[in-house]
Amino acid sequence: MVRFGDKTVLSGGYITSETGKVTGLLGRNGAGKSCMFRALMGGLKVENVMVSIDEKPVNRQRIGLSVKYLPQGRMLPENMKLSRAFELYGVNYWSFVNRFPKYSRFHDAALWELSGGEARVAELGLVLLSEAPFYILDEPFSQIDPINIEAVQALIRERSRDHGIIVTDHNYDAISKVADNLFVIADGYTSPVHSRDDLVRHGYLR
Amino acid sequence: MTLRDRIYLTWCYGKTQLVIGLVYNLVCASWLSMGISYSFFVDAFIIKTIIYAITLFLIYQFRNRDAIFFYINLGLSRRKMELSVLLLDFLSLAVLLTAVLIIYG
Repeated sequence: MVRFGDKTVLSGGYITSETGKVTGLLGRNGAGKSCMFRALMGGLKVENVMVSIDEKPVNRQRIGLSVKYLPQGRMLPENMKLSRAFELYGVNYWSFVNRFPKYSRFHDAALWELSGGEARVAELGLVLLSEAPFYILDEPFSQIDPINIEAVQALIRERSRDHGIIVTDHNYDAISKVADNLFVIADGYTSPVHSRDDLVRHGYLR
Repeated sequence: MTLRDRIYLTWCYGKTQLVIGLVYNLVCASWLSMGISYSFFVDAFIIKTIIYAITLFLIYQFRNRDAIFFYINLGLSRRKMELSVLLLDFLSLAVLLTAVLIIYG
């Protein structure tokens, strides 16, 4: 349960991810999508949170080794060089540059030297190319230009072959192109989406 | 992850606290070099604890709430990071005071 003052944001959140699949999570602004992810990852204190992989509970003090999370806002320290961040995450910077050639000139740049969209792609590459069985991406397409959205979608599809990925975004078209199954979060609860009617019923679409 | 990486990450995470802590540690060390008494140590650590708590409170008001996930993704929880900063800060005070005691002993 996630509560801010008297307002209950999330009371019954539940989501699953399978290796080889991309799960999309949809929901209106303030529905509790990011709160759920923050709670799962230990960035928000909440009651009764449980994360398990293959039915075994995950040690939440070390959850980052099993699940890598791209938050909605910036997570990299502003003064850290991109090459240093990639080194700490065990990712070869040049394998990222192969996918996003523009970044060859940012090898020694700190995050503050990049624009919002450039920083977003760098953080996304850092998270998705680091090793973990599962990834959670919170609004990965925000601030990114259309050409890079296609490259990001391709990277998500590629990594989903042998990893489980959960994605949430307000760009419904972008998410529907990569997601194998969808959930919607509304009124504090998550529900699976089987058809467009489910999204209308939960107030996400008209 | 190497110890060097861990210290670097602790510095990145708690830079403000560590800089404020270091300034206080240097002030304590200079006071100590002028005159030593048992109560000085107790007072120095009590004041340090109070300053640490106030700094932490102020930092939490303005901190980027998503920055913690950079460390969580590396398997380091918020609690571990806070403890590392606390340990490094108090360790630097202990080392500085010991050094002053040895030099001016």
